[in-house]
Amino acid sequence: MNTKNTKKRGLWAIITPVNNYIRWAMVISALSGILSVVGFVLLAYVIGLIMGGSIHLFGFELGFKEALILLALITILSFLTKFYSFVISHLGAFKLEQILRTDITTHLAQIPLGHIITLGTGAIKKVLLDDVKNLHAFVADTTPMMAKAIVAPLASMVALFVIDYRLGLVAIAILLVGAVLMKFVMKDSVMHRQNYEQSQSEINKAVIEFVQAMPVVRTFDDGTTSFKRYNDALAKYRTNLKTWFGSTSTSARIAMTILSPMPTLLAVTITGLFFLMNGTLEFAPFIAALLVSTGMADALMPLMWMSNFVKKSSAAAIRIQEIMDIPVLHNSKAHKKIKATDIVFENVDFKYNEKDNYALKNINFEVKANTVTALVGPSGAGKSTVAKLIPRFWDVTKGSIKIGGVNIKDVDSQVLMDTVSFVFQDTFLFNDTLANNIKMANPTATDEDMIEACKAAQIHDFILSLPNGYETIAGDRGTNLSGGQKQRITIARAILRNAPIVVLDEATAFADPENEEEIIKALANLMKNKTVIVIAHRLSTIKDVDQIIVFDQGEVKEKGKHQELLAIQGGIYAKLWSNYEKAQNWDIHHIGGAL
Amino acid sequence: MKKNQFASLLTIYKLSVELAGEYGSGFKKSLVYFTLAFVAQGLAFGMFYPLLLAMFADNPVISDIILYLGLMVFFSILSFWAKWRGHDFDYDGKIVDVTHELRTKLGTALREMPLEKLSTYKTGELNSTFSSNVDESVLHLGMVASMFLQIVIVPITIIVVTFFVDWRLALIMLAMLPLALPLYSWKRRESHEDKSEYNQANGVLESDFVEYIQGLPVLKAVNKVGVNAQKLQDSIAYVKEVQKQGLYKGQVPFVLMGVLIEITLLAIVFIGAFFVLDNTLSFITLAAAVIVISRLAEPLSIFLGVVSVFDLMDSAFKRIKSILAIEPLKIHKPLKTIKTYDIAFDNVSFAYQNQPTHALQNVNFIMANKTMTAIVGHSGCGKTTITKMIMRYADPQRGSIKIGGANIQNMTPEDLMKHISVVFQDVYLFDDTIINNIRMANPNATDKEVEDAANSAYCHEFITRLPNGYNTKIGDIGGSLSGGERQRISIARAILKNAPIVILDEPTAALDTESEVAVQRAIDKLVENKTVVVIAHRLSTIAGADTILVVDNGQIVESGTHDELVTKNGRYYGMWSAQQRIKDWHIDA
Repeated sequence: MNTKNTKKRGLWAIITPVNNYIRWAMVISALSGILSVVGFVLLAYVIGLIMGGSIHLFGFELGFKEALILLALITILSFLTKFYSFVISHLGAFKLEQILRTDITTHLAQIPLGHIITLGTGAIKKVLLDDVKNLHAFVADTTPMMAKAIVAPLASMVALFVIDYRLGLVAIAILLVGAVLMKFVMKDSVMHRQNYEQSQSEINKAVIEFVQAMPVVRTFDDGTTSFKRYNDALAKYRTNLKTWFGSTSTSARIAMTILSPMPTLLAVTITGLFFLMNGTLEFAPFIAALLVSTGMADALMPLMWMSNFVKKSSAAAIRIQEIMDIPVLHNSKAHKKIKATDIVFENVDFKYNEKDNYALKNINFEVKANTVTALVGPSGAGKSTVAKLIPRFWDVTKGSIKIGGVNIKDVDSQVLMDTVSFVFQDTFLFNDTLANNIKMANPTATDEDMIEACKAAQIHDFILSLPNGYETIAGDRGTNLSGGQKQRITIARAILRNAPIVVLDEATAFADPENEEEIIKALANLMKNKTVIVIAHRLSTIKDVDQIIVFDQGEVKEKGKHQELLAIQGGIYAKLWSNYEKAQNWDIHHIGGAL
Repeated sequence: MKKNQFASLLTIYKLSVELAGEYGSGFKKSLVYFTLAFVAQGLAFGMFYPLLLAMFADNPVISDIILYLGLMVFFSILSFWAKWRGHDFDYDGKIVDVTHELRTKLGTALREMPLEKLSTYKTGELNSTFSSNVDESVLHLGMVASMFLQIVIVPITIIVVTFFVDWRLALIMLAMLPLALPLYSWKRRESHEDKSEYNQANGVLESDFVEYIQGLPVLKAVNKVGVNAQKLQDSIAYVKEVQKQGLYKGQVPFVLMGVLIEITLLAIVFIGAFFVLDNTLSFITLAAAVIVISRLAEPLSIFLGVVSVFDLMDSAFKRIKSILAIEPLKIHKPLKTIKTYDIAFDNVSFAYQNQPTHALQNVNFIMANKTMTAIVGHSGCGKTTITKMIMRYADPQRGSIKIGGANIQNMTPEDLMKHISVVFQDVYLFDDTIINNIRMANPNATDKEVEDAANSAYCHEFITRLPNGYNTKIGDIGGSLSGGERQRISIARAILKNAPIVILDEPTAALDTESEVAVQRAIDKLVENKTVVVIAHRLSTIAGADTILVVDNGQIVESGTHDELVTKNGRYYGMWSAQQRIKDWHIDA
């Protein structure tokens, strides 16, 4: 029960920016609920007035005509209140959408970039679009309906008691009996629900596996084996579901019966009949009672539907809050400047999350300004993690990283970004002209500067070959560029930015086999006269660099130049190098052929 | 609009019965029960007419009152009972059988459909069709049917009963209540979900979000983030504006539907008053009519919910049907079997579905038995297409493909694939034990045979080092297997299968150096004594091939051994020398 409260707090907390709208909408909607009840009661009296007579209301005497006009007014008011409550709630919802989306995108810019990678664009996009939209639906539709669904039944109960308290008691009695029966009938419902959800997630897993594996599996056989697995899962699900249905069958059907308004109506009719017979109840009150007595029972089904929706919205709210909870990159407000570009890692430990193991331990090394340092090691050794710590994709858990003697945590993020540029495997182009995409890196650059950078990046000729040249639109909705072409454009950006430190993943050179030569030349130009850190995979490319740092299992194991490292007996680098040479010299040994 | 809605209702009914398959009659039976239930409910309400008249008669006759009260109770109980029985279809589990059947049929369709068709589906789409479409649309068929019948039958029954009591009142009801339908169509038209402007604005917003997220590093560098991200802020604001536009107009029909009952009541009382004063109608009857109409508020509120579910069901059913309707590739007679393992392409031309240009044009070659053929060329040139055609991914528009002289169209898919092993760049491992994953290639293999295959693939060692050895479940350790280890398991599968033809598609491209050597050794074992087709980018790895086919734009432009091609000084030579130059590249200090 506690968790239910925390969840609700999350959902209601997240919509507070538009609380005013919500409150007004709910109040007006509740009002419309009360008006409906009043309308029904009045209706009963109006019928009685047709034959003549009048009723006294707030000191006024109303005959049939006046009462009918009042009824019409109430109906119009009912329409207006419903209308405006929804308009207000929708306006609030639209505003909330905008606020949430702005807040989330602002927050995304302040958290370590590494989180964006681990969360994934797809997941973040889903939160920004779908989860926010879900909250929109909640505020726009559910909140006013909720208010009405709670107030209207209460109002009808009050009205019923005012009309004739005895009938009110009868209606409550029926409800209580119903409630007790429901509790009895649904006592195992939580367990059953959990069983159902368990089966659901199992079958979904089996389906996903079957579907995902299909293209691959068809190449082994015609799918017989995986089909058997699928069928087995289906059979299991069928049994589970049938059991579930069977065990909840009686209780569910009883619940549906209890929740219908018929029993209340019958009870009030029969009781009213007695009172009519012994003269303690009159016509109009009796009709009025029949009209409002089912108010409580009628509200139950909608409330149940709504609670389902609230659950979904709570889940959406939680997902949004999880993103907003990610701590921002801590800026020490020291606003220091960077004057030199040597990099020092001092006693750096790093882990991604509190509960994980350390990904990096005791990292110590120094990169002198204007030198080239290569990071090597088996996959998962930690080299790309180390490289990503320099532009502060994450903050170190312990220790420090200093550039020019200044701790990078003491530097404004813009200054850091001005000092360190990085070229990794994911290329990204904005839906804008190529010129703007490239110039974005350096708003003060001239067109000549841009062209120089593109020439250095070996992409200038290609751009000129496009029909619109530099004005060609890139990005998703733009021209289809190959991986290698996009890579060279991002390299042009980096060249134009001219940041003194370059962090580079060498794999980018070989990601697009078509363009290897050009990309390599582009990278060579990028690296001139800079302090370079390169994550290396092909060991032959880094034979001559100033420093090679060898990582394994998150630690620095060896440091030095190529020849020094090769000389270490049984060294890690030596082994890597020998494997590399073997791999490079491989050609498929084919025995038994035309050769 | 009215007509369309009824037409689609009929379609849904037909589809429901069709999808219910052999349980269709059970479904229809439940519909009959529901109909009975709601007629009874309508009649129970209708009893208010005679009951109130009897209660408020000048000289009330107790027996009459008891009769009508009794009838009301009787009809109520009948309604409950019939509804209970109606849900038998659900609760006795028949609906579960229906969904089971459906998923089985869908699974079979997926297995048998041509690979080309399969590749046009995104896994997400298929998942949702197999899982949620079947569940949401079929599982709740009973519930939806019941709700639908309730909204239709209760009002109709009530109007019919009223007709017998006072036809004028019935006419008023008939005039007002069905207004729900045009109001609904009006609401749909105004609803922005259907509006293209909204969808467009949302589409732009979506891609702007992706741009923002992926471009964050660049944007951060120039501080164009958060409120400074002008383009993004504009898109967000625009979506808000578009939604605001339709707001007032859009709410009117929706709210009108909400007050429809109140308006009907007002009309009945107003008009009915005239008849009462005229002495042609008893005000008691009028009161009873008011009570009966007020009972219709419940079905009306369900109406909106049901109609939107119908939309979902409609599209879900259509998707399910479209998958079931896909025909597998035709197997031509007479059936042939493969005796030797040379592969021959005879004038093959092929274009992918919906593609204007041919992916392969007039491709001719013979890969002799037990030789190794390498296919090289720029990406998109058609290399992978050739290997796909060998597996009968689709039928070529022209030409034929023969293995051992037998046209692959003349054999069953099982027979064809029995002879081919494929090793891709990505490896799919099932959430099962490692030994079962490998054994998939040959379900009858003994444990020893599986281990031998693993040994040959150089993965026996690392497998035995795992917590449960061969019985380790992939799901438990999946993430911690390196690319090279996964690849070697995939090669072990291929070795176990021992198919005479092996297709390798850039198997070491995605691996780091350490894994590469191990995988290379495994591949060497795999290809011993087989007919091998290799797609490789690194030309040095295939320099020893018996034949190298150089493909460009869907055509074979050069073919021969490495030495022959190098001397030709053509396409191959250009690629080879570029790669040699790159080999020598290194970063200067």
